[in-house]
Amino acid sequence: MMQMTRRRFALSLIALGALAPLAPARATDVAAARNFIETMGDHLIEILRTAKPGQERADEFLTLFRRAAALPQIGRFTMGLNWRQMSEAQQAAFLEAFEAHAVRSYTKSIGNYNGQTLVVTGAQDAGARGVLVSSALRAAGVQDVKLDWLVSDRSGDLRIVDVVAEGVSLAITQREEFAAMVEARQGDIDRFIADLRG
Amino acid sequence: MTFKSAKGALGVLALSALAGCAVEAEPGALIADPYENVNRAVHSFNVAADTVALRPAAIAYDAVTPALFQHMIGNFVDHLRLPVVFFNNIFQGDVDEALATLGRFGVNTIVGAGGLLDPATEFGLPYDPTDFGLTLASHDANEGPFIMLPLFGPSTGRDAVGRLVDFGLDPLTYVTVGDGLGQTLATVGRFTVPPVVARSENFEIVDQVLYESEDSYVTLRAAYVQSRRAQAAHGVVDVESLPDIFGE
Repeated sequence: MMQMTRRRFALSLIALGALAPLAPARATDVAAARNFIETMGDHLIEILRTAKPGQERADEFLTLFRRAAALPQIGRFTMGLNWRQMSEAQQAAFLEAFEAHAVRSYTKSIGNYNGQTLVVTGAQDAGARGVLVSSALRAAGVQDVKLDWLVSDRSGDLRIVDVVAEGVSLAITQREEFAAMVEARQGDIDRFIADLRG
Repeated sequence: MTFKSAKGALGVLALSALAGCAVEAEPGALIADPYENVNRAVHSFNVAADTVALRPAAIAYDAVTPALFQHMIGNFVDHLRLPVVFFNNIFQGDVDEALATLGRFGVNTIVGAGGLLDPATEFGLPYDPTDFGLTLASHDANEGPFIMLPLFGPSTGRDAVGRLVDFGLDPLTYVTVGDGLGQTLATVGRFTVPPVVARSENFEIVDQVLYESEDSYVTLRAAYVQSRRAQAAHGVVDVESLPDIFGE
């Protein structure tokens, strides 16, 4: 009897599973995610290679960055447990400051082009977290840098939600940094946001 | 000697089981850091040491050493680590990797001018380092809390024990080269050259973390802990460790 119930339960789970693709939280398509990173990588290398004047290049980078990354969701994640204690106004102000901060730090870190290529080496399903696309940043004479891109379409569009460089997640590192920044300001979120805005 | 070291290693394994007892990380935090105050003080000291000694030494090394020599010195530093790597391959039960390490050591010693050159990589035997911290991880020892070591930098309870054991496993610990001044120089070189070479090889990124980040202690902690966990997982990404951006 017990076994029967269990089996029926299992069956109904399977039936639910068959319906799951209709649910909004369906898994991100692996091939589409891989394609997305390949296109984005080509675009990024292109921006780096065509050495346009500073401002023009920064603008191009910003456009690509806004289109490719799920900034609001990443921003929210980086606030960790603090997010829920923030007022809506604070959340909005933070997201604005977060974008400015992210653009500032990444524009600074995109250096000069030294013949690097981005080679996509694989992609794996990461369930609800999205699809993890693996790539190697190659340049002559130095070791490859392993870059993994977490891609998800749960914001509605296909977007990068994290970059993992040699095992170090940008989103997690950022979350640790922000937690420390808030703590250093005795939990004063407004001061943190003002300082983040720079 | 191997026998003795292995026995010592087992002893430390038991010790680390005691020392590395599980410490709960605060909710949402990457790792437990109960000694943060002490760690931060040590970190400040380390940054000062970098500013006044290691960083200038790396700049000087880069300036006076031709690229070819830098390459050979880098090779040699890696080469001297291979015995420790080999022992750890064995302790991890990875016979294939141990043979590869042995093969690499043989090839580069004989046809690589004693380790200055690296023909082994071309033969499909690339440098694939490991250490006793990773050996402990492979046997599911607890990671322990985050610890900032003086001069050695970021570590965990597990990795700190690993460092100690690796020192004991290293044949260089027991071998004396030459006598008098030569011996002194060899000993000094053993402890000073690898850090300078490593600092020089990663110059930009270390500068960024130590001098340009908002809170270099936290950035270093986050980067160290994650990259060590990735190494322990042999590059196989654990999906569960990825951030769940939409999850919280």
